[in-house]
Amino acid sequence: MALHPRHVVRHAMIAALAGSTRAGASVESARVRPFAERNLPSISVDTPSETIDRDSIDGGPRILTRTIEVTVDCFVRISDGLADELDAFALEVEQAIDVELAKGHEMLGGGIEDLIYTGSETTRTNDGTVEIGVIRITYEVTYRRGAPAEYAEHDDLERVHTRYNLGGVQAPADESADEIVVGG
Amino acid sequence: MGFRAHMSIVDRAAGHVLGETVQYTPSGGETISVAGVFDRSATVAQLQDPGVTTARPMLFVRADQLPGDPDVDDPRIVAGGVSYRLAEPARLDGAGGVMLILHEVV
Repeated sequence: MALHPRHVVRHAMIAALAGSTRAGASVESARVRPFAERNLPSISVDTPSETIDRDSIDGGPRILTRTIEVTVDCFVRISDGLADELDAFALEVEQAIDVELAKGHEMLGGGIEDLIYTGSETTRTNDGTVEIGVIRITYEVTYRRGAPAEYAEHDDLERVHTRYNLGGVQAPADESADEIVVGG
Repeated sequence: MGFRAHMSIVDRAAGHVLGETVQYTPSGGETISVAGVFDRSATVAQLQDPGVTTARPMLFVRADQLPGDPDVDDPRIVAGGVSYRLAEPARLDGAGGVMLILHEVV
């Protein structure tokens, strides 16, 4: 069964991050259960939304330009200096993703047009056995996909024949006729 | 007997029954033993999704057992073999009790 591009992108991001940051192998896909504090630092990668470029609706066959929002939530615990720890964690994530970017068209397993860092947001709390914080790093991944995904194969357009009848009352012999050759 | 006096009696009784001895060391001072009620209740820190399960260490002591103001002393407290420091300013209950919210010293 084919996988949705969101699935492919999410797991490609996980593969790019696993072992490349202080979270080690603790990089999970769209985790729902809370992390245990003792298991931090950890990362949860999610793809919460996807949008299309409205300008890509026109044209045929219709090829939509789609953008997936990818969130990388980096959780950490520390006795002191939480802001510095989160910034260092974020730098490791960005450097790991830079390695993917350097792969060009092969990044995230291929089929991706662009991968852009769009921002980050930090949340911290005192409500733990130590200070706990998370920095959410957000990326946008753009790809193109047919709508429907696969078109049946058609012959190339080579020749257009037109006839025009003024008011629909002209005799066929009096109609305007044109032969337009498209192909070479 | 007023409410505060009753609270004081209850606090001392609770300390005897539920309390344990912890080590309290003011910054630059001598370590003393203090009887207090130590708790480490589980909680979930709601940080983005999915959050983090953690615990909230806290110690209730009688203020008259302490050598000074905890907010000034910046104490290290050892309970159950784990070292803690204050996570936030001490909470006075107005009846002679002090709740200390703690963080582990990692």
